[in-house]
Amino acid sequence: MISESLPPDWAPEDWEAEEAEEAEEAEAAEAADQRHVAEVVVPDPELLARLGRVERHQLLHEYVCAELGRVLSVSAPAIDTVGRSMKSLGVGSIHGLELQRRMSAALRVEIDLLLLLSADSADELIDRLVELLGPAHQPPERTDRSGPRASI
Amino acid sequence: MNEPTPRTPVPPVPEDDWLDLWLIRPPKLEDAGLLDLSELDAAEHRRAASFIRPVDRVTYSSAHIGLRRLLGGYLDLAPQEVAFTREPCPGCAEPHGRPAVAHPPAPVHFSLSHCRGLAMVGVAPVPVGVDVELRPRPRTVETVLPALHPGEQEELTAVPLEARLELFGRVWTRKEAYLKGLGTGLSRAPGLDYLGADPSRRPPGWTVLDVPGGPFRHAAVAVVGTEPATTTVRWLPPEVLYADGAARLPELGHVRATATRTPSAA
Repeated sequence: MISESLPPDWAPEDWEAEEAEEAEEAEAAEAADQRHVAEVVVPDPELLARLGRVERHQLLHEYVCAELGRVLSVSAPAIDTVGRSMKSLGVGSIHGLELQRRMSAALRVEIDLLLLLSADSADELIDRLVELLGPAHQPPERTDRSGPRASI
Repeated sequence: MNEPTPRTPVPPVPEDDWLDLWLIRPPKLEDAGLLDLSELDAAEHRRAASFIRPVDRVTYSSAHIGLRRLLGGYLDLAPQEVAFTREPCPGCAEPHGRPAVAHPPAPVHFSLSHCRGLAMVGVAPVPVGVDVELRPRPRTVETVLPALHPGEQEELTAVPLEARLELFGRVWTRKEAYLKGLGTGLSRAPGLDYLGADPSRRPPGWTVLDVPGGPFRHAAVAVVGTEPATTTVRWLPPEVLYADGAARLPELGHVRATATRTPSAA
């Protein structure tokens, strides 16, 4: 282990102060996550399949912005869906995987992780969902599959 | 006529079987104007400008200034002369695999990763991958955990929540460092490979090490082969990224640890 070979004065002098700041940031981020999760309204895939393209796009736009807002700890209306890539919005690998799993489960459709991470804009992802969830889509039965094994 | 950018003096490259890790601390937002952006290329400038959050912009710029100055030192080039390319993807052979220097034959491999408040550059004579991450939130761990290797899931669910967040951060950074070293990134499913606590169960042919990343951060490195004979970890303060930072690297680059592998008994 690299850490075992570190001298006692390894840490930069201001690490101790940073520890307290980071703990506050983590608490604030968790509180924001709790608030934002309540704002996420998942559109019913069966309804989406019956709607016209414009209405389907509107519902999916609201949903994707809400999920992005929750992950990024910003309000959904602040999400720029057109001019920023997912990376530029701040979606890294862990958040990308989290988004992919949440949206795939909620919408009952398989979302490609690399497509999500490499999307040139959130609109690109939304457009893909509009196509996937159109009239030809037959969402699988909602299973009572348990969520993650860990209970939080 | 502009003054030529000074070369970055770094310690001479040892013969072989070594690994250098550079932990770069971006400046605070109020000091972001001190960053020397002149060595970044047009694509890096565009990318930096595209970030919504100023802290992400500072982190990205800092990481890339640091990377160029360090690689310039290893390659005896001015930072802005370092050119990058992508190796073929191991999965499909398309040019979106591991980033590499476009100066064949390049004597070094590198990997870069950054998160808020920290960037890490790994340099070695063999393929290497690094990853740094902020401590994840409980809901993130809850959602992502089922996608991990079953052995990792078992280890994570056996500990209480606080410990699980810490453990997840370590598992994830090891995993991503390994996938970046491979060149696949997340095109390879995160559940395929075990990067949990037991080194004997990890992918053969690679050495994966945890690296201290500071408060609420996790970091790891993956390098081809057995543990290098010499692994050196250095902290670089924000000053190395400012206008005169390249020339001050020996003074500012604090060597904090040099781990030398003990030869195993026959």
